[in-house]
Amino acid sequence: MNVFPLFWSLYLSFCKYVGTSNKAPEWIGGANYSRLFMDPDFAPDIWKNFQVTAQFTLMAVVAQLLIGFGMAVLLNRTFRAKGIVTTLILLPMMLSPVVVGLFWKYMFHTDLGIVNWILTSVFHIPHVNWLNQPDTAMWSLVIVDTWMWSPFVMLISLAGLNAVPPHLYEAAEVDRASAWFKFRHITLPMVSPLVMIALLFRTMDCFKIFDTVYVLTGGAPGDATKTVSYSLYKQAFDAHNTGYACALAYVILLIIIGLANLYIKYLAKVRGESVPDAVPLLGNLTEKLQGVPVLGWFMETPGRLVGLLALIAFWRQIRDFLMFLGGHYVLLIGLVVLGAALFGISRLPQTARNLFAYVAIGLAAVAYLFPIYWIVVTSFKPSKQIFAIPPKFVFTHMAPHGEDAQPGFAAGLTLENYDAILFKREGNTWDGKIEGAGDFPHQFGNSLFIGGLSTFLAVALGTMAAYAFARFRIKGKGDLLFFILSTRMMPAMVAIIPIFLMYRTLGLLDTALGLIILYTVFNLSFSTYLLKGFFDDIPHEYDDAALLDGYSRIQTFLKISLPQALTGIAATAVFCFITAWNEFAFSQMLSIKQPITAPPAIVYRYGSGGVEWGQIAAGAVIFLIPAAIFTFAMRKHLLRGVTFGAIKK
Amino acid sequence: MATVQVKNLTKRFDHNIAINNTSLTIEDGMFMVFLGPSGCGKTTTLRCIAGLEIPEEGQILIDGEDVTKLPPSARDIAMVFQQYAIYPHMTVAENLAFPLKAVNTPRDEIEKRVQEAAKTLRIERLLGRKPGKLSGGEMQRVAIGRAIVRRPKVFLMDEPLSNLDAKLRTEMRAEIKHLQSDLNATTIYVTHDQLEAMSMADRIAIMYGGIVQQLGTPAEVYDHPSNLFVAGFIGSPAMNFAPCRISEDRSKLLLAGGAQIALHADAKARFEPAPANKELILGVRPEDLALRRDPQPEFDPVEVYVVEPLGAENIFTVNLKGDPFKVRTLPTFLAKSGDTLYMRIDQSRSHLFDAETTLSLTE
Repeated sequence: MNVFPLFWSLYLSFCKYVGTSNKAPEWIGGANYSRLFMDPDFAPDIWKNFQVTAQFTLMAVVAQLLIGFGMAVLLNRTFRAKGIVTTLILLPMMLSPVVVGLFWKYMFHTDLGIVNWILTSVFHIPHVNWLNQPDTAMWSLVIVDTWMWSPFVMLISLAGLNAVPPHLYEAAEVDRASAWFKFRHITLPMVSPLVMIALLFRTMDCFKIFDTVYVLTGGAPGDATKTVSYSLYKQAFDAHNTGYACALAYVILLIIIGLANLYIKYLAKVRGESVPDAVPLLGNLTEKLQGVPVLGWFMETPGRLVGLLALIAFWRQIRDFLMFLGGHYVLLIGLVVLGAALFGISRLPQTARNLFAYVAIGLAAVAYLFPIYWIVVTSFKPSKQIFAIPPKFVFTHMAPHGEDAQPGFAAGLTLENYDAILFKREGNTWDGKIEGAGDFPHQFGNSLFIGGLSTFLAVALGTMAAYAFARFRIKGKGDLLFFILSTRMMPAMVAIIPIFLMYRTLGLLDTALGLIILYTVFNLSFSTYLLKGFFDDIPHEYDDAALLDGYSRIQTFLKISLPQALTGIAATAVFCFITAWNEFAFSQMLSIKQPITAPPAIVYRYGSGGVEWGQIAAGAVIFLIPAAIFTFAMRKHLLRGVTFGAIKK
Repeated sequence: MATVQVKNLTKRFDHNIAINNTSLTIEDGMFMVFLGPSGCGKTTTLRCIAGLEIPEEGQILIDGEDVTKLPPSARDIAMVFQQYAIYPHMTVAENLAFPLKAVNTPRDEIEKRVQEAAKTLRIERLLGRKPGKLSGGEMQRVAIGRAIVRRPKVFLMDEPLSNLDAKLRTEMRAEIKHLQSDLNATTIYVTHDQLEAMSMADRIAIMYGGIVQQLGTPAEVYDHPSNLFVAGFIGSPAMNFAPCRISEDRSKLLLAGGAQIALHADAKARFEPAPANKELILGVRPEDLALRRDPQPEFDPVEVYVVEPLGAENIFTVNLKGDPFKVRTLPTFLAKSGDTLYMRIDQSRSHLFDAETTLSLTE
């Protein structure tokens, strides 16, 4: 299931094939690839897509690094609400990118969105046309991705900061090192391996971003935010250049494998394993190149290598970005002022510093939770009050149906949105009805069922596979594990074409069964890898003792290992469930007539006819609840889950 | 080099009194050892002197200057931590240079001092290595080296040898002692190993329960322990203890195990301060007991329980009626479990402790 799509895709990439027609694929050799790279019509566009992707990745990863690491430094102190604050800030990470994207679209609305309202009334900056200008559209993508993922970087940085043994700081204290000296020579070097993992992970993720682009900008304006994944989607499903799209998909795949390779190597280094658990393919190449004079310096650490590649490939984007900064004096001055302020604060005595830290933490918490608060609040507003100016932040009374907006910040609370979603089967707009918007409770139920079943299967099979990997010597274990890991890092778009075709042939389109199979397979690799880590943690002496006492291997597994691994299994199950729960792309593409699960349904509701934000909000809130519950339940294992077991905290 | 004075130091952690009104003085150039079991307050005292803890009451003076509330960076002290505190991401040379870089020492000065320290500790060939590639002993030397380059007023060492194996510990003990006398450095050394303390110290401060039980030279604390705790802590094998009383007519020692030993002439004066008919504890070191195969006056019959041949000597565990005693003998003196031998207690070197107050009555 994992391998076959890849090979079929490879085959198709050498063909001329139109997916929707009934003609068989025609072999045209390397023509698709040459078209990719050299055709004057296509090549520049594809190159632009790569540049857009690179620009986005660069901006987003840098932003996430600064904000995430900064928050970690702030939170690296004990205070009463620390547990709750940390858990709450982690919520954005666990939400569906589609739902999040949709909601930011609402907030970024030029005239009626809350973001612009805050800008004008609080900061007196004129309205920004977020989604319709190339520059700002890119920024809005970066902002949404940063909002979702800075907490991830923060979490990893926090783990790194906590891992520095305190006696190192004490020794430096005795040796009269200043606070800055300690930070620069102890904290930074010791935390950087972990932070590098976070950055690599984010880089891979940003590179394959699709869901958010689809919902927030649709690649617009023009192709200013058309990332490679999105472009691939367009080629395959709009233009129907299936063979060509496969070629593109393969190029992307190779790049991803290269990045995954780096990630695995760094993973191994951080875990202190001398031989990486999953054998990287290109590993030795960088080591051999270290002898070369100037180039060698870049090869010494993965960080430098990535930096070099980025520099070479996307120098134009970097130049543009720097010019952008230079041209926008306000931004530059703002950054300088911020830097000076931070420096000044670092000179203050401990108690004053702590005060600033708490203020900053408070602001960060508000900034992070405000969008969620806003979604919840919107879901309870009657339609006429959703875009009211000034925006309504609080509720003072129950609103009768169709109540108009009153002046002031208060509004009436209504349940009509939830009512519409849950009990009426069509949408209600201001001016008419939406046809066939689908049956939300049904789709919600589908999501639960599909998510639940695929999770159960993935975890059940994964547990057994993981136990085998952990306890037995399997030939080619390293390669197999690497393969498993890299398929998980693959963008959905790469596999979607062959899977779509496969499903069409097998009649699995538009079926829940198809999605169940898909999610199970998709999650299986992840669950195996994660569970193997958990089993590795259980000392094999337990198993040995049981085997010596006369139990068979299966009995040992059931009676001894399984109970020990229960927490790990639970954590893995939650992660698999949330992945399936939030999954959008495949669910969207593989259902023709009607959305099967909730995420596409929510998006669909947006796309058809008038936009009923209240109902979308209500749907989003209902959809977010399981994610929130699970985030809270699994807060102790969150770090481990999202880094594929790299960091065990 | 400097003197360190601790005056009426009291430190509490929540409701736990770690240091209880302790005072002591460390002279210039002295090697002072804080000795005691875990939780006795020795490390806490050291950390107060270092400035890593602030005491509730009391003062710390270095060279007459009150440094009690000053941060560690203002005290001109160097510390060697138990876990070495060597930075894993720097080479040995960079680790040694670290304290000097922190105060912006000129580069040639740094270079000079690093080379000096490396030569003293014989780690020149390790200068380019990272800590991950060093053995325990080598890391220990780097940690000490980092303290030496500072040329501080006081050296503080917190159980630096506890992570090394026994053989290495013996070697390092001698090296540290030699180093200290070479540099004539005021050193405060914390350990729970009485052997380390005895072999290295000019003065030992034995601590227990946050209080200094006794302060003295190694010979003093060995030969003249002021209470039961000190007597039992110093020396290996430990001093033998047997609860006893002096008879009414002051002619015999009545041991709780049942034996009755005549008081020897040389002991009469020594045991003078001990009242008769009071619960006492007799303390005798293993080397102050003699064994014979045949009965003699002043020798009492004992039964051999176990023999431990250590090569340079044998340790016999014998039972004098109901009281066990460990005896040191020459390696050539042999016997088997169950044999009957005859033992004499050298009462002129024995101690009597008040069973209630645990204070020594003979010192």
